[in-house]
Amino acid sequence: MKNKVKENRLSMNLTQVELSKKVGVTSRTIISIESGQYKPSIMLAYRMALIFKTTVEDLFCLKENKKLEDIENENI
Amino acid sequence: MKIYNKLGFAFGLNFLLMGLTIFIMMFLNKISDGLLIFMGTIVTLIGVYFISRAMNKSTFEEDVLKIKDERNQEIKAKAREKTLLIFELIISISVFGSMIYGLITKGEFINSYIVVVAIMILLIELIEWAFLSYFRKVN
Repeated sequence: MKNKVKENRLSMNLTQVELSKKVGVTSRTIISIESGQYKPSIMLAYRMALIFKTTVEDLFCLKENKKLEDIENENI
Repeated sequence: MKIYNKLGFAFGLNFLLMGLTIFIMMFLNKISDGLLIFMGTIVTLIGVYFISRAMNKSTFEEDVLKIKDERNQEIKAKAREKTLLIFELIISISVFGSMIYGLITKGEFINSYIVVVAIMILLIELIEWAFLSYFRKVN
């Protein structure tokens, strides 16, 4: 799942450990989210969006990801 | 000295006592077995490790974060699900194998084994069904 977590984190000069402490998860979870391997819960996504002063929709590219998911589902 | 993680401390203390019991039993019975010394040392060290973690604030906070972490919880749930699936498969294969073996040898031990394992399978299925019903209601 594509997202803008890494670019938002870097723009705020935060390390993965610092961000993980702010949102109350392990740094491994942040690494997984940034690489698109792990889809966070709604609350975690919202916590991150609050820190980056953006919306969940924008941070996790929901429109774009929905389109990709729809195409994938059509191909099944 | 403050105990931050009481459950972790109890877990560690349990291991420490088990390890010490091995050494005390060896001393009382005048046994000097290499394997027992090795086991006793390992169990004691595990106990000391968990007790020290339970009494350290930073490691306690680290442990709490690891437990609360949603990704860890998801991974744990997935791992448990797979483990149960494999466990059920192993039990089924062993029952099937022992049934064939029992047919050939007509051994009493095999028959009782089949009954015990069949009860285990039934219990696993019943517990799973109960949890599924509960979570379907709650969620």
